[in-house]
Amino acid sequence: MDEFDDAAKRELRSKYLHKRKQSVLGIRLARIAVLILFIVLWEVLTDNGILNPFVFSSPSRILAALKDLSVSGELWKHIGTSVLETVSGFVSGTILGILIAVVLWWSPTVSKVLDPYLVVLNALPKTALGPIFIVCIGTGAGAIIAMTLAISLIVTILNVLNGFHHTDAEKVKLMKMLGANRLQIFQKLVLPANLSTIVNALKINIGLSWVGVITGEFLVSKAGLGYLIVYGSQVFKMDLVMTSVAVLAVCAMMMHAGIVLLEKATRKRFALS
Amino acid sequence: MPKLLLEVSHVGHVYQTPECEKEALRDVSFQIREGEFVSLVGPSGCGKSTLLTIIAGLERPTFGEVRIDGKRITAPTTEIGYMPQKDHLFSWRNIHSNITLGLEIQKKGPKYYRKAEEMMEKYGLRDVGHMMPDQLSGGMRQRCSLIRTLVTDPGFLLLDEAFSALDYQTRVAVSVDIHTIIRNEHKTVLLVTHDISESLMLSDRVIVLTRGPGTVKAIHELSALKDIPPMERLEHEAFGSMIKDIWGELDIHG
Repeated sequence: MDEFDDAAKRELRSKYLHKRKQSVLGIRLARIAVLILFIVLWEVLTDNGILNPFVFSSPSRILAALKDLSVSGELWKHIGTSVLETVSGFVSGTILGILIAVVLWWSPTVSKVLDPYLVVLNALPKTALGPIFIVCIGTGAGAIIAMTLAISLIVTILNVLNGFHHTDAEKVKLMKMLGANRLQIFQKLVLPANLSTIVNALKINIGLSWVGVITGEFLVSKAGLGYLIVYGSQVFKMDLVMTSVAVLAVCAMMMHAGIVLLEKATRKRFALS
Repeated sequence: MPKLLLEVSHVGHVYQTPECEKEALRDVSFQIREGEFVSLVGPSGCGKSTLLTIIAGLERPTFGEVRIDGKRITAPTTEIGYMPQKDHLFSWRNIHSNITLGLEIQKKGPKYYRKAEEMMEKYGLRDVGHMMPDQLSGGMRQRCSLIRTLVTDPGFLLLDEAFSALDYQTRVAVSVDIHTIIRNEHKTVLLVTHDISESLMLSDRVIVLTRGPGTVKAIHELSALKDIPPMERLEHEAFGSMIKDIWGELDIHG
C-alpha cells in the first residue's frame, strides 16, 4: 500500500514538474515570438513604405550598419567607452552610496541634519548639473562619470538608508540585550537583513548609470553610444541612431542579467526569501 | 532564604512629547529572589512594556531605580537574558548559528559553545542545528529562542509576552515546555504577560499592575499551587477563584 502511495506521489510530482516546466517554456517562447513579430512587422512596414525607412530605419538597415561599424572597429570602441563609463559610475555610485548610508545610519544626528539636503538633491533634475561638471572637470570621461554619480548616488543613499532604518526594532532590541555594540548590530543584523535592499539598489543603479552616461555623452563626448546617437541625429543618419539604441539595449540587458545572477547567488548564500 | 536578585524600587516613568507628557508608571516596587518564577500581569496600557524596558536597561526610569544582584541597571547587561514575544531567529543563519549568536557577540570561549551543544542535545535541537529557521514549527522556534537566551548563562530571565504570538494549543504546550527547561536550568524569571491563566500555570508569584499609570495593585503568592506541575494546576480547585480575583483587580470593563 505504502509502495503504491509512493509511486502515486512520484507520478503526481513528476506531472506537476512537467506542467511547470512547460509553462515556463511557453512564456519564454511567447517572449521570443513577440520580439520576432516586432522585427518582422517593422521590416515589412518599412519595406512597403508604410513607415518611412529614412526616419524609422529597419532591421535590415540596422544589421548592415552594425556590420559596417563592426568591420571598421568603431562599434567596439563606442561600446567599450560607454560600458567603461557606466561600470565606473555604477561601481563608484553604489559603493559611495552604501558607505554614506552606513555613516548616516551610524549617526542619527548627522542623518537628521542632512535629511532636507538629501530630499532636495533627490528632487533636483541632475541633468541641470551637467554644465557645472563640464566647467569644473572638463570635457573628458570624468564629467560623464560625475553625471552618472550625480544621478545614482542620492537614490542609492536614500534606498539603502531607508532599508537600514526599517530593520526590525525588536531584533535590534534583542541584539542589545545579547550585549551587541553598534558595530555588531550592523554586521550581524542590519547588513544581512538588508541584502535584498542593497541588491534592489544595484538593480535600480544599473539603469540610472546608463541614463547618466548617455545624458553625459549627449552633452560632452567624442566616443560612446550616446555620442553615436547624437552624431547620427545631427547628420540625419537614423540607421546609426537606431543601431546605437539597439546595441545600448543589449548592453543594458546584459548588465541587468549580471545583477540578477548576483541576486540569485546572494539569496542562495544568505537564505533570503 | 534565597538571595535577592532583582529589586525594583519606587520606579516611575514619564514620557515627554512636544505636545504633552504621559505618566506610564507610578511608584512601582517589588523584589524577586533567586530561583523564583514571577509573572507581571496588567491591563493594556498599564506600563508593563515600559517597566520591562526599564528592567532590561534599555530605558532609564524618570524616578526610582532597578538593581540586579545589588548593581544598579543603567544600560543593557548580559546578566539579564531576554526572550521576546516572537522568536526573532535570523533567517540567514541556521539554527545552531542562531543559538550561538549571543556567544559570538559576547566573544565567549569554547566552554560556552560546548554547553550550547549540550543544551541542543538535551532539548532535542541537535538534529535541527543545520536547518534554517523557516524549516521549523512555531513551538520549536520558540524553544530555540529560549536556548539562545540561556546559552550565555544569564542569571535572570525576562520573558516578554514570550508565548503570545503562538496559537492557543501551541502556546500552552510551549509554555509548559519552556517552564520545564527554565526549572531544569534553575533560572530566575520575570514573565510579562496579559494572560492570567498562563501566569497562574507557570509562576510562584503574580504581580498585578493597575491601569496606567501603572502601580502595583496586588501581589499573589501562589503557595496553594506550589510544587504542582503547570498542567495539573489547571485542575486545582483554587485556580478558578484565583483567575476571578486577578480579573477583578485588573478592573477591565467590556
